[in-house]
This record gives sequence, C-alpha cells and structure tokens, in this order.
Amino acid sequence: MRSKLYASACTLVLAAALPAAAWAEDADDDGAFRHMEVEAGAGVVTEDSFKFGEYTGLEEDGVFAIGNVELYYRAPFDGGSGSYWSLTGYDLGLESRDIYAEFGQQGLFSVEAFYDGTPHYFFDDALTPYRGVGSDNLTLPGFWVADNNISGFTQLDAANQPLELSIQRDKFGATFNVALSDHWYLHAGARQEQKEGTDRIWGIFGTNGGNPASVVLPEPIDWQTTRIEGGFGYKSKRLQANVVYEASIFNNRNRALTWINAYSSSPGSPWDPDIGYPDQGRMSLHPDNQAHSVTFTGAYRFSKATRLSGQFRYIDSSQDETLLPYTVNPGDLSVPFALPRDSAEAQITNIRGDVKLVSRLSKRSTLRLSYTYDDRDNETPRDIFLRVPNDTADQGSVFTSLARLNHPFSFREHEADASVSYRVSNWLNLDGTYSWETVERTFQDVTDTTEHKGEIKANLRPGGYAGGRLQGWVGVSYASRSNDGRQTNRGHLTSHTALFLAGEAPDPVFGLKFENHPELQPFHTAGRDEIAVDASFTFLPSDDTSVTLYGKWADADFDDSEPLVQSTLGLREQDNLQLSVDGTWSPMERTQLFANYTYENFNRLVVNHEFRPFPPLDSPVQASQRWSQDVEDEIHSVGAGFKWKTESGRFGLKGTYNFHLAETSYDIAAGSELSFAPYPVIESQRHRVDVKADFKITETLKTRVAYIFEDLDTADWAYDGILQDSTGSVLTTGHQPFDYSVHVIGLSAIKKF
Amino acid sequence: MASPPAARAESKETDSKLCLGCHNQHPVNQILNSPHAQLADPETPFSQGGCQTCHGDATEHLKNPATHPPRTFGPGSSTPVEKQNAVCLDCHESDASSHWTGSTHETAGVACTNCHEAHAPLQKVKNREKQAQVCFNCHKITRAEMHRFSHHPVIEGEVTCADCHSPHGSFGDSLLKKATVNETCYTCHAEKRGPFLWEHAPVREDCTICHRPHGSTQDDLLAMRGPLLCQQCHSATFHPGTLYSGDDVQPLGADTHVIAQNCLNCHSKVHGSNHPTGVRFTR
Repeated sequence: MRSKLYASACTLVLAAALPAAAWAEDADDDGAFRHMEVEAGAGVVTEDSFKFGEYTGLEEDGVFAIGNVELYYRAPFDGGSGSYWSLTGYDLGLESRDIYAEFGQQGLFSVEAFYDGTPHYFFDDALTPYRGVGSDNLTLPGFWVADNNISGFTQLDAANQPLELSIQRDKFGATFNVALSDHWYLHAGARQEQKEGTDRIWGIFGTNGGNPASVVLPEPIDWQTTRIEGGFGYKSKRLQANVVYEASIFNNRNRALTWINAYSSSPGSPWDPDIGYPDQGRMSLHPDNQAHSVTFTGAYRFSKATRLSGQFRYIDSSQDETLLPYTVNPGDLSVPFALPRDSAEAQITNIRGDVKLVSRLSKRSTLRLSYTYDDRDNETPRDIFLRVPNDTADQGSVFTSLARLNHPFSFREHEADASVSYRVSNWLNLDGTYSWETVERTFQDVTDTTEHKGEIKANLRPGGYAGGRLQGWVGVSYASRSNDGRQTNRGHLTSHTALFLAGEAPDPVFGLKFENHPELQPFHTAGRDEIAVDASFTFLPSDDTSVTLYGKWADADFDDSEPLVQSTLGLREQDNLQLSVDGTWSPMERTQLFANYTYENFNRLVVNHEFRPFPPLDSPVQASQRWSQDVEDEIHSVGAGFKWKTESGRFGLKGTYNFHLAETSYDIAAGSELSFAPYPVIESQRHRVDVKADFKITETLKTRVAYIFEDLDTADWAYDGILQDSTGSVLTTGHQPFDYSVHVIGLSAIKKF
Repeated sequence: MASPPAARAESKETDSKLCLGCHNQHPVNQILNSPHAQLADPETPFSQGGCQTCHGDATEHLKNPATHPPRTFGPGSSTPVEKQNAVCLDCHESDASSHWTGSTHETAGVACTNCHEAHAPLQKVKNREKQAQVCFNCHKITRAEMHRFSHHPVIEGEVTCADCHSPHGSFGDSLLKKATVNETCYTCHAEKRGPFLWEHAPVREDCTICHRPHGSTQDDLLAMRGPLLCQQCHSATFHPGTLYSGDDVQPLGADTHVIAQNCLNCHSKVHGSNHPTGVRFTR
C-alpha cells in the first residue's frame, strides 16, 4: 500500500510537471516502432516586441507558420537488424527552428546530424546617426554638425536612422560513433556555428578620466566557430578508458571597428590644441583564437565496492592576431613609438588532472575521495605598450603612466574533497564532507587563497519514513576562506614601468603608491566566512496530492581584519534566501492541477570611498567620504496549471499561468561630504498564459488551437527617460525599458501516419 | 568489428513473452519498442536474460504472482535506489554513466528512473524541447531563475540543461560537462576565450564572478547592476569610487557613468582587449 501510494503520487508529480506526452503507443503490426507525426498550421502575433520574441523569432506582429515534425522508427525487437532512425524538426516556421536526424544500428554504429537556429533579439527602438551598419567602417552623413556636447549635434534628428539590434546563431554538425569490437569504439564529430547580426558597443574619445565622450556603435557580428573532435576508447565491466582530441577555432571576419568622431572637441577641458580634433576612432574587436585539447579519461573498478576514476586534460589556447597600430590617427601623435611586437603572441597552456576514489567501506558506509590539480599557465610575453588614450592624444613615454605592461594572468588550483555517507537506518542517511581548496594567482594584490569547507546532510530516504509519505533532506555547510601573499599595490607596481614608478610619490597615509584603494580587496580573493542551510521535503498527504517545500539560506561575510592594511571596502556582506512550495492535485481521473510559488531575496552590501578632485575630496581615509549601498533583489515567481481530457480522449485541454515579479532596491548611506538621493526601484513584472486545446477528428488527425498571452512591464533607471541627448557626452540609442502585451493565436492540424 | 546482428539474436525471448502474458499493458509492454529490447544488440537486457536481466529471477513470482520479482523500479519501488541503479550500471557504467559513482546525483540518492523511463521507446529527457521540464521536477529554484528577466533560453527550448551539465557525473563543479565554468561558457561563447593581450583577471578566472548563468534580474545575466557591480572591486580617484545614486538618473539627472551600460559606456572591452592601448578595456 505504501509503495502504491507513493508511486501514484509521484507519477502525479511527474505527469503534472511534464507537458502532455506526444509519445503514443505506435507499434505496428510488423512489430516495428513508428511514431510519425506532422503538425502544420499558422499563427498570428498581435504586437511587435523584440523582448517577447527574444529567442523564439516571434518578434514581429503578423502571421507565422507552424511546423513540427516527429518521425521515429525502430526495427522490431526480434527483427535481427537493430536499425533505427529519426527525424525531428521543431518551430520550422520560425528562426528558432531546429532539425535533428539520427540513423544507426544499435550496438554497431550511429550517425547524427543537426541544424539549430537561435535568434537573439535585443531591441528595435534604437536610433543611430551612423551609416554603414553591418560593416566595420561607420561614417556620418555629410551634413553632420559636430560639437563638444551632444546638445550641439544640431543634425542628430535628421541623421538618425532606426537601428534593429539582433543576432542569429546557426549551428549545424554531425557526429559518428562506431563499435570497433565488443570493447573498442571510435567517435568523431564536427560542427560549425555561424553568428551574424548587429550588436551594440561603445566607442570612446577622450584623453583620460575627466573628459571622455562616447557613442553607441552598431557592432558588426560575423563570427564562425568550428569544432572538431575525435577519439577512441575501450570499455569493459571493470575498465573504461578513452582519449579525445578536440579543436575549437574561432574566426571573426571583422578585426576592428572604425568610426567617424561625432564630437568636435571634449566637454570640460579642450583637447590639446597641438593634437587637434581627431576625425576617426578605432577599436579592436574579438580576435581570432583557437584551442586544442587532448583529454584522457579512465575508470577502473577494483571490486564491487571500490572504483577509481580520473581525467587528464591538456589545453593549448592561442591567439596571434596582428596588432593594430597605436592609433588610427598617427598624424596626431607627436612622439610616434614602435609597437614592441607585431602580433599578440598570446598563448595559454592549461593542464588539469582529476582523480576520484569511491569505496563502500561496509554495508552502511561509503567513502569518497577526490583531488583536482588545475594549472593555467599564461605564456603571453610581457612588454611595454605606450598608451594612446582613445585615438586622441600623445602616447607619452615610458616615464609616464601612459606606458603600461600587460598582465598575462596565470593561476594554479589544488582541491581535495573527502566525504563519508553512513546509513543510520532504512530511512535515514547521513553525509559528511570536508573540502579544501587553494588558488595561487599572478599579478593580483592577493596571490593565494585557501578555503576549508565542511558540510553535513541528513537524507530521509524515499519510501522509508512516515509510511512513505515523506522524503527529503536537510544540509548545513560552513566555509572559511583566508588569503596570503597580499601586497595592496602589486597590480599597480607590476603594470607600470620602473621609470615611472621611480618618479611617483607614495601616498602619505598608506606610504605606498596605489591605483586601487589599499583598503579594498576584490571579493573573490578576500577572506570570507560563509554559512548555508538548505532543506527540501516532499509530503504526500493523500493518493492524489503532493506538496514539496524547499528552502535555502546563505550568509557570507567578507574579512575586515588584515594585518597589513585593514580591508573595509568593496563587497562586505551578501545573504540569500530562497523558498519554494510546489503542489499537485488530481481531483478526478484525467484531471491534474498544479501550482508553485518561489520567493527569493538577495542582499549585497558594498562599501566604497569617494575621491573627488573637483571639488577636492582627496583623502583616502576620511570617514565623511565613505558610502555604502545595500542592494536588495526580491523576486516572486508563481506558476499554476491544469490538464484535462475527456473520457474518450477526443478533447483535451491544458493551460498554465506564470507570474514573475522582480524588484531591485538600493539602501544608501553616506558620509557628511557626500550627497545622494534614493534610486528608483528597478522592476520587471510579467504575466503569461499558455493554453492548448486538442480536438481529435479521427484516430490519425487532430486539430490544435494554441493561445499565448504575455504582458511585461519594466522600470529601469538606466533607460527610463534617457534619450539620445540626455547627457552631453554619451550618445545613446534612446532605447526605453520594455513594455508590451502580446497575444499569439495558433491553429494547426496534426496528422499521424 | 563487432559480430553481425543476426548472429547475435540469441535471446530469452520466450521468458519475456511469458512475462508479457500477464503484463501486456502500457507502459510495461512498451519495452518491446525500446532500445532495451533489441535482440540484435548483445548488450541489451533482452538479449541477455529478458525481463529477468533487470527484474531478477522470477521463479517465485511465477509460482505466486502476489509476490514481487526481486527487483522493481520507479518511485514506488521497494527496491532500494542503490540496488535499482546497480542494475542500470551493470551495463551503463561502461558508457554514459562511467562517472556516476561518486557524482552529486548518486550521492543525493537520485534513481535512474527519476529521469529515465526504461520501458519507453522515446525518452522525454533526451528530447531537447522537453528535457528541462524533467530537470525542473527537482531543481525548482533553477526553474524560477529561468523565468527571470534575463535568462539563457532554456524554457524556450533553445538551450538544454545537458548542453552545460552532465547529469551522470563529471569532474567539473555542479556536474558541468567541461572541467571549469569558463571552459563550459566558451563552448558557445568562443569569442570570449581569448587569450587577449590585456586580460581582466576575474573574467579569466570565473565567469560567475559577474554573471548568473541560469537567470538574473539584470541585463546580460549580470549578478548586479553597474556601476555598483564594478565598485565591488574598484575604488580609485575620479569615478571608480564615486557615489552614484538617484541624483544621477531621471528625473533628477543623467550621469554618463550610470545610464545605459554604465561603466561599459566607455570600458566596453571588459572581457579583454587586443588593442595595444587597451589596458583600460576601452578599445
């Protein structure tokens, strides 16, 4: 009874959570399995919205085609061939269409091929004065009037053109697997990914901190990534091993983006008159790169109780794009200086090893041990590059802060874990885990971090407790991270030339030269204490009802006690709370109801210090210049739905409703020298209704009516009321926060063959 | 080469037909249409011992049908999960599940049948359009994350959980298919792999320092809105340490460091720059 009760309730959970199974009993008289279903129809979208159609291709109002295909064949189980094939295609009328095909003989070989399209629509309410969208050379119309402030762009409206920002990703490829013998097999695959469209990127002019001026530029996206892999392996009951070679080659057809300067001078302080007003800017785009890897994976079972597995991985990543000149305006440079080398010569060797041992010590206890070594060795040469800040200024010399050395960042990680599981009774398991991790980094203020973590978990085993009506678990973990090798200005010292540093005066308070405030440690390398508690329970009060509760709370405090310089700035605290409740109920046959609610709350406290040269606030320690922001994300997610079918199965109806509300608010505090106003709340609120009704006309033909309603309202101070000319020195696209109500209605026929 | 299928069609077909004499109903009888029943493949249960390969010796069950066979599967089974899984692993440990032992799912007591239907001809969890629904049965917070304003297109069916995760076990954190977070991200975002001439160290170390891969309340899967996101790690003269607030957004103002893409309005190459003067990620 207990098992039956649990089975029926769990089946209910699964049935409610999954969409109606399209998988029918399709065995034919010849014993073969055939599932042949084709859906065709048309739908209507009522409103344009790039956000609604972000990944589906339903971004425009109007009619679209509905097309789905599911064709599966498997030879009779006793037919002797073991052959099978399938062809599936979904969303064939949309840019998000995908097609998968597979053919094989079970136990001998398989061949798979696929095409997968994925659009990504950003927004369609953008404006740009630039011409040549889609190319790597952006110009302004001849009548453009430049100025040192956007308010002086008198021909902006006349020059503006609508700009739709979107990318289409198309992937296709094939894989081949063959059994060479009972133990040996071979695998090969290749895939190509093409990404095309227009994204946005910011181009900047300006000499340094005080007077930059930027514009949103349409970035041409024309990328190809080719991936090939091949390997072979051996498998037996005791031993499995395989070797795989993989290559990933990325190619960008646009090396750089050049654009005409919309500004004629800089707001605030003017450009150096000796240099003039540059008429062009140029930035690098993502360079071509490639990675080659060899992975050896193995596992060996010593006995029924003990198994050892491991992996060794070698990756060689490289990028050797020819470097652009310092500036696209060489005539503006008063002291031209040669590049230290012609190409990036960027190279990283990554070696990683993992080993894991699992042993059942007794009928009640299991031991798990694992160790990981991961070494990212960046072999890119270090050189002095003179900096031309944004195609406008002199490049300085090695005596100035404009000369910088690149930081080829490397790190090495060791991690070890040990855990023990102990079965206390038929219904209770206890797990205990201890983890140790240490990371060594180069060029960072903090070079070494070490974390110790302990975790215990109690599992109520399925079907065991409370007559099978309750299962779940409770876990508690505590982690403590410390750091070592901290030098508060290592990043500064290693990125500037010795000649410059020799002439730089140390800060009188801290007695050292710094770029980032000495009291700030990036949070991922800072000391940290973190405690987390989570629990999940599924309760089955009756045969037709289930309730699942889940909760997690975690709190992290970042270290404020450093022997060298006290660390008080940056991210100081974060805590997370996540709660969810799920319920399912089947009040009668062929009727299922389900509902869920999730509440999430995230808090992050950031403390910082304001330096301000105009008017001066240049003390690095004055309490009146300190400020904090406590950011709270509060998120509510609700889902509810039903499935219902008539007794004859001729009519079926299912529907879901989803509601999502997220609010981000800021609690600000500041010292007496600083003034502030509260931020408006960032909010997104979405309602969505999905309904599908199926009516069976004959045993092999049915019609489907589908309806979607989605309403999204957002408030976002980054875009709310921000027009192209809202600031003097950042020419935006004028994009506004999303707000739409879209209805989609589809009518289709589904024919089964 | 492996031996030809026809020559390997020796089976316990008779035993199976005996079982189906009583159990000839959905979903049990679907086994005949499933890969598990193919006699041509010598590794399938049917070509080894028929139904009894997985369910055990049914002698007692045949004598007294009221008793269960030694092993049953699924959420209502009285067979412990470890013993259920051991049956599956007997064949699958040598292929897809070679890293199951010691994995997060194994330790958590997940049964193979929680996700797979051993008798079904088609697996829902292997269908790209439906896979996430199977995972969401347990991963309810992830389900909520996927409904956030900014999310990877999983609920749209364009990305599957298995594109990033290996549910049968792996050597990566969070059952990632690749060894590290960044390697996993570079699978689709190869342009961000570099290496670049000018590297932003946290970006190289772990994408999740700034991004929430399942979903976020902020644009671009960011953990927090800039400029505060950047000010968690940066404080210096001029703007990096400046207090920005409601004074800097509409209706009170429009500060260039806060509106639109905030810090990225100028530092647009934050994932790394290959320009010789890209030290500050502006070019």
